[in-house]
Amino acid sequence: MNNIEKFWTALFILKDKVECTVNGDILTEDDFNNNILWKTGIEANGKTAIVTKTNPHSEITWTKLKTEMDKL
Amino acid sequence: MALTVVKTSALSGTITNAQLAGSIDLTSKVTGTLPTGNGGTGATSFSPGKVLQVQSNTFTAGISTSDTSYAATAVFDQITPSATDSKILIWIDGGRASYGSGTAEGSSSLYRQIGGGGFSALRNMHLDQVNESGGYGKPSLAFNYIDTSHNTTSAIDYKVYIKTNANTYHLNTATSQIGIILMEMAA
Repeated sequence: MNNIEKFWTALFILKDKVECTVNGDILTEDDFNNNILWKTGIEANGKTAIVTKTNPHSEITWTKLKTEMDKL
Repeated sequence: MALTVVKTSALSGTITNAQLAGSIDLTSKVTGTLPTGNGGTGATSFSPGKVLQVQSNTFTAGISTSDTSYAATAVFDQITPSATDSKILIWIDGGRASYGSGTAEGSSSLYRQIGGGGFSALRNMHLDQVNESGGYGKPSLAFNYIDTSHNTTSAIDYKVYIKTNANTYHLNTATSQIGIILMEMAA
């Protein structure tokens, strides 16, 4: 299992079906804070996500994610 | 009768720099066509070049999404046209698609932003690219398009957006390369 597969597996363990887009690997807290676009809604056109780099999910933190990734 | 003395050296041989003192009026003193065999174009008139500028970018980082709505990727490039009616040729190729956590149908769309005014969808690049277990092909992007609707000389950003119908869709994996080329062509 490579790094990005570990990320997605760990993420869905913490919160199933959470929606986000990742550009690059998530290996550090800096990656976690900068390389993930978290979906918070949908624009009026109905097809484009409203996203933020600020993690809106309290169930997901870098520490929890890293712990789950290290188990894989 | 007045006589004019013509030096024989002026009738043949090599023209020296000293003899060319002053300037030659190229607006009226040059005729004929320089053949290609002598380094010319063979053309009787000049046609300006059509390619005005080229911009390019490459990306090798992994890109993936679990978003069921289109979200931005890092794949982008910017060009600032010199004229409002210039054509912008766009090529986007490469990548290595994959999936995770189950079958995923990934879609990619080209978004455009003019003058920093916000991105909006320009064209669908591919829709519902199926990635599933059982011998999927790790497909790549292959897209080209001519943008004739920008009508601007402000900076234009082109960016790839992706989404999945379920699970996770990977647009790029394993350090494969996605390249984007923007070319401004004179109208």
